[in-house]
Amino acid sequence: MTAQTPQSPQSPGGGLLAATDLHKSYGATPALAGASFVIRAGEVVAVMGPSGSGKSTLLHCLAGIVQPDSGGIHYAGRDLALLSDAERSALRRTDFGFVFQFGQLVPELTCAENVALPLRLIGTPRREAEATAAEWLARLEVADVRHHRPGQISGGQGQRVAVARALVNNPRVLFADEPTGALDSLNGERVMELLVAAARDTGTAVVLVTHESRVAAYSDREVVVRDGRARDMAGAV
Amino acid sequence: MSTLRVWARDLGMGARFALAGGRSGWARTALTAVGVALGVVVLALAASVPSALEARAQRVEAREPVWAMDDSGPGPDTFLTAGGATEYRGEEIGGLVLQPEAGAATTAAPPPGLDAFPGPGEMVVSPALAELLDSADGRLLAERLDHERVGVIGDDGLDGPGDLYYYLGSDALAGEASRATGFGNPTFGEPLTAAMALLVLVICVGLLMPVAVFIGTAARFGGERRDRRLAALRLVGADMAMTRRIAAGESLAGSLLGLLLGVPLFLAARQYLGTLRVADLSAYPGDIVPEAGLILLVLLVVPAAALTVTLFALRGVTVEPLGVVRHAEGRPRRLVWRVVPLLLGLLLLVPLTFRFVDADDATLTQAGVGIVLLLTGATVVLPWLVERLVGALRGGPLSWQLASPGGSSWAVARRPAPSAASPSRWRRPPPSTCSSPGSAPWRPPTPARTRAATRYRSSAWTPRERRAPGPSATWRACRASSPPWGRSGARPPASPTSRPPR
Ligand SMILES: Nc1ncnc2c1ncn2[C@@H]1O[C@H](COP(=O)(O)OP(=O)(O)O)[C@@H](O)[C@H]1O
Ligand SMILES: [Mg+2]
Repeated sequence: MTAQTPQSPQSPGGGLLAATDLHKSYGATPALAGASFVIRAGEVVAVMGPSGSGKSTLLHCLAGIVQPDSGGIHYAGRDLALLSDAERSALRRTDFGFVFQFGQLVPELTCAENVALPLRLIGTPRREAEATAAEWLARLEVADVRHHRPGQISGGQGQRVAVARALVNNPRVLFADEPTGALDSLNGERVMELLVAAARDTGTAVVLVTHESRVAAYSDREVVVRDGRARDMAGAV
Repeated sequence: MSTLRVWARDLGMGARFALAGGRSGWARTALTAVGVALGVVVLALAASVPSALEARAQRVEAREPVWAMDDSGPGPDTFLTAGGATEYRGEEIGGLVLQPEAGAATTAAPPPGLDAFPGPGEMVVSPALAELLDSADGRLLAERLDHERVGVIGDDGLDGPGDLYYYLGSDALAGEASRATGFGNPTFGEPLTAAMALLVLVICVGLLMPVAVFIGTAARFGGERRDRRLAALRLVGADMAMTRRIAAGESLAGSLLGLLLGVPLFLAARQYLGTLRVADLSAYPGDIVPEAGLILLVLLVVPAAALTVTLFALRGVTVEPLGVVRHAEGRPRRLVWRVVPLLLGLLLLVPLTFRFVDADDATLTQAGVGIVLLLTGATVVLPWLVERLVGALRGGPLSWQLASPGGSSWAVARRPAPSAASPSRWRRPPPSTCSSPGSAPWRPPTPARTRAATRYRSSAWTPRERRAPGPSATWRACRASSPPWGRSGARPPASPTSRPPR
C-alpha cells in the first residue's frame, strides 16, 4: 500500500495525476490522438466533449485500466506504464475510486456488501467494513436500501451506492464516467451534489467525464476532448 | 493479513457468490453440485466393489462344508452332504443335501442362515429361489424340487439377495455322500479377478464420462454473469490472484454442496442396487461399503477435479477491470486428436468380434482398454460433432447453440474481434443490473447515441481490425468484451449472422 500524504511526490507538471501526449487507437480508429491532462489533489475537473471523442478512453488510461499506445501517465510520481498488474490493482484498491454510468455494482451482493467490498479487499475485518459502509450509505441518503440487491433499487439509488463504494476507501482520485448519464435530471442533480460534496469533504480529486454542461458545472475546471485531443477551456483554472 | 486469512476471505467471497449468484448463479452451483454428487456416487460405488465382493466371498466361504478326515467315522456332530446344484433356464441354482448322522439329536451347527438342519424331506430355500418357485416361470423347477418347504435361508447364508440356493434334509444319503463336521471353509481365492476389475473399470469410465461433461457444462453455465462479476471485482482492485481465488471459491462451494448431496444419493443408489440382479451377481446394500482409503481419495479428488476444471477454464482468460478476454476459446474445435482414442478403441475391439471364445486375461484386458478408449473417444468427439451440426444449422434455437459447450461464445457473441482474443460471450446485461426493472431509467436513444452505435459497429469490428497486429492484445481487447460500464451508449449488434467464416 502506498503512503499517500499530501507531501508525496507530485507528477511532472505539479499535478497529482498527469498524462502527456496520449495516443490510443482501436484498430484503425484513433480514440486518443495526443491528449494531455493534469489534475491536482482535491481538484474537480470535468472532461467534456461529444460522444465518441475519446473521453472514456482518456479516463481509462488515466486510471491504468487501459494501456495507451504511447504517451506517459504519472500518478503521484509513479509511471503507470512501469507498474505491474498487481501494483495497478493495489492502486485501484487504495487510491482510486470509480463511478460509471451504470452496472458497476456486483449484482449478487447487497448494497451494503457492495460498498464494503473495497474495504474487504484491503483486509478490513467484515464488521468494521460493514459499519463504514453503513455510514457511507447514510451519507449518500441510501441507508434504506442497505439490504437490497442492486437489481432491486432505482437507477438513482444505484448511482449513490456506487458513489459510496467509490469513496469508501478514501481514494485520492475518483474517476466518474457519465455518473448521471442514465438518470433523469432531478436524480442526476442530487447524485452530483452528493458526489461533489463528499469528494470535497475527503479531499478527493475527481475526473468527471460528461457531455452535459449541467453536470460539468459542478467542476472547478473544464477540459474539452475533441477528436482524441484534450484542451483546457480558455479562461478556466 | 496472513496468507491464510487472505485465502479464506477470497474463497469465502467466492462461496458467497456461488450461493447468492441469482438465478443463473444458482443454476450453475446446483449443476456443479449435482455433477459432483454423481461423480462421487459412481466412484464411491466403485470403491465399494472390493468390499462387496469380499463380503460376498466371505459368506460363500462360510457355507462351504468342512470335510471330515478320511478315516474319521460318524459322530454326534458330523453330517453327510451331497451336492444339489442344478441349472434352470440358464440360471445356476446352488443346493446342498444334508443328513446329520445323529439325526435330530445332532450337535453339529447348522449352515449359516438356518436355525436348524432341515428334517428329512424338508427344504429351506433362499428368498430369491422361493420367489422363482412360486412364479409361473418356475413351475417346471418346482416340479423338480418338489419338497416340503419349511423356511427361508437368512441373509448371512447367501451370497446376495439374488442368490438361488436351497438346503434339503435327507435320511437316505450314503455311499457317494461326503462326511462333514461343520461349515466355514476358506478355500476361495482372490475375490476380485482381473475380469471383474476390468468390468468395474469400464463401468466407471462409462459412467464418469457423462459426469465429467456435465461438470464441464455446469462450469460454463452462467459464465457471462461470472465474467461481469469478476470484472467488477477487478475494477475495485482485486488482482489476478485474488480473482482466481474467488473463482475457485465459487466452484469449491458447488463441489462441497455436491459432496453433501452425494451422501444421500449414494445411500439411495446402494438401496437400489440391492434390488438389482446382473447375471448371477447381486449385493446386499449393507455390503456396499466404500473402502475407507478409497472414499477419502474420492472425497478429495472429485472437488479437486471440479476446481481444476475452473482454474483450467480461467487459464485462457484474462479478467480485466473492463471485461473478460478469452484467448483461445474462439478457435473452432479440432477433430484430429479427438478421433485418436476412438480409432484406437476400434482397433482393439474389432478383432475381438472374430474371436472372443476363449476369454483369457489378455483378451479381457484388450476388451477393457478398447471399451474405455471407445467411450472416451465418443465423449470427446461428441462436442465437435455438436458444434459442426449447430454450425450447419446456421443459428438454430438458442438452446442448440448453447448445447455446444464453447458454442455460446461464437453463436451469440463471436464476431471479428481485435487480435487473436475473442470477446466474452455476451455483450451486455439487461439494463436491470443496477436498477429496478420496472423503473427503467433509460432514456430513449438520442440521435447521438444512435450515431455512436453506428460508429462502433463500423469501426471497432471491421475485419481489418482483426488483422491488425497488437502489442498488447489483452489491454486492447478488453474493451471488446466490456461489462456494462465499459462502453456507454454504444451496443454492437449481436446477430448470429456475424459469425466469422470457419
Ligand atoms: N473497445 C473498443 N474497441 C473499439 N473501438 C473503441 C473501443 N473503445 C472505444 N472505441 C472507439 O474509440 C473512440 C472513442 O471512444 P470513447 O473513449 O468511448 O469516447 P467517449 O467516451 O467520448 O464517448 C470511439 O470512436 C469508439 O468507437
Ligand atoms: Mg464514454
